[in-house]
Amino acid sequence: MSRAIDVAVVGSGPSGSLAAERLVEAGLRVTLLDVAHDDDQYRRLMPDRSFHEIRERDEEQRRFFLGNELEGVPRRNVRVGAQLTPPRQFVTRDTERLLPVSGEGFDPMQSLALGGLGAAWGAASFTYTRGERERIGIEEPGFEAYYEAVTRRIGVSADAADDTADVAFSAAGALPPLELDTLARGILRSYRENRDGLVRNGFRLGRTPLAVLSRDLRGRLANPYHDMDFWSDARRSVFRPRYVISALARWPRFELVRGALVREFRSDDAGVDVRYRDLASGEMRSLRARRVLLCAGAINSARIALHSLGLHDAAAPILCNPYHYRPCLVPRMLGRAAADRRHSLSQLLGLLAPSDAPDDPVSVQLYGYRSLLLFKLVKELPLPPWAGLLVTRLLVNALCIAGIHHSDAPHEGKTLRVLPPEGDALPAVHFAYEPRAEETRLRLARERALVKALRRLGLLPFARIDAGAASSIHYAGTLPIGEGPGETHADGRLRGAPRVYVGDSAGWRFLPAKGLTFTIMANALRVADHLARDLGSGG
Amino acid sequence: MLERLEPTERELRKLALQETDPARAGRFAPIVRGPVFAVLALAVVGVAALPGILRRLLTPPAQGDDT
Repeated sequence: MSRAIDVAVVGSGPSGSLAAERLVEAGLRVTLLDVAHDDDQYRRLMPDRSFHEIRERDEEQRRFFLGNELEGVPRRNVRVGAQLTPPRQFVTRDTERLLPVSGEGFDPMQSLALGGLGAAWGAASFTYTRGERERIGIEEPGFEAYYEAVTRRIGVSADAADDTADVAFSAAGALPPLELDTLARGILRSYRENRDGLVRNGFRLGRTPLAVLSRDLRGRLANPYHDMDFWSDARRSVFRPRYVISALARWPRFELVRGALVREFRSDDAGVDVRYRDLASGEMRSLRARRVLLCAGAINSARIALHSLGLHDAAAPILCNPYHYRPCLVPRMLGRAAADRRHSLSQLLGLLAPSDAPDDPVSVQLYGYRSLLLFKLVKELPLPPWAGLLVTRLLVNALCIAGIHHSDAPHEGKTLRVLPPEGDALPAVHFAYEPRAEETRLRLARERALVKALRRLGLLPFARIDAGAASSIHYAGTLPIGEGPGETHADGRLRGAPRVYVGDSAGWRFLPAKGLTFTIMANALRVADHLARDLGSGG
Repeated sequence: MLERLEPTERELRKLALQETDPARAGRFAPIVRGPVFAVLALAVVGVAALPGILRRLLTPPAQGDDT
């Protein structure tokens, strides 16, 4: 089968969905290819009620809290992604089987879902400073306009008056900030009381900018503070890429091909053939387009591109924010009540500008632990279950999870290689990720300074939990902007295949410590505009 | 050693099923009786759990158990 279209977009995640919309609005005929797994069992079961109400009254709660197969009860030696609740587990469905990876100490989370990893995204939204964008390789003037466009499209709630605003979120068009929960309000109060000393030591704190609605927007409703955001998308308050795909369905020049596992492309002078396996029939199919836009995520865009270019076994870089989390006790909350009215996502963002690199901050996001069920906490305690349960009931309102991210830059110890494929299967990707000793030493020194700041806020970290090198689920830099084979032009075109563009984070040469998804979306609009201009259309 | 003290999969599954039973929701609610009560309760639970902790440390895992 062969059909000519303007652009084949590969991947329906945050970058693919927004780029597809931009291209369709520019007048182009777009086909989006993805396996596009979706939740076919839990979404319709989820009541639009608060966690507290459901816990007390809902006879069906076991089905979505634990899952029909009890898949929500964690087992030992779990991989990255085990934190996904049953209604979110479709996000990683079939990835082990269809997206082969190998390597020591780097076990990435991948997705074949409609909306990609954005289907379970924590919604933290950050703009990068001009300096950070220059390090990435995005030097285009006017990039702020893309940030503003994404902000208005997806809805970001943020507080421009926060101490962190200039570094964390500076786009125009934000909605008013969301309400903080009881725990976070106390921590922010403590920050204000100790502000001078903390700021002198390079630490600032503010609300986490979130792609969660504080007001209704384009048919989506404001967050109801039901504390169900890890389980449910009721009211569509938290942005998910599938909302964009649904909106695209009304355009006659847009088509979504589901069940399509893209393997490779072949360019010629007139266009590009994209070859994919139709998972329903098992057959290989081909789709002809004038241009291809790879938005399959940094790892899978590299898998497709390097295999298509014949660059098997060549070392390409991989970037991934080093991440770990620290459970903290907040003694002032011990034995005290906390309001049930809250959202479940990141409440506060701390930024520590290290004295040795003030433009390269370490970030910490602070979460409460309320809606994830106590038995998962009991699992972590070296106590008999009855004692573990009592301890968690006593501590849960005073428990804060601090998720800490560092930036990442390429070096020869962090590589990805696409191996020659066997038969019609996708080629496997092999990772090596070994930071330099100096890098590790610096990170630990910065963490010590950060822990000091957390203590001044009244948080007592009592453990350091590191789920491995890939656990931030922030991947980038696999087809970096550069001059060589397997690299990209600054406008997103892939070297060696000028009709193929890369619209996700694969082109980035640096990964700031702040979350990347919001900037991925803005960058996808930028690349889509270049592509549209290349085809003589809009942009 | 500490892993021996953590709940087994069977215990965890039982706890998960209890926690999602609305009739038992009260047994899983946060205890909010003030900081003094919380500190004392933590101390009492710690002491009361000691025999169970020792038993787990000294008893070999049952067959089919994953601990």
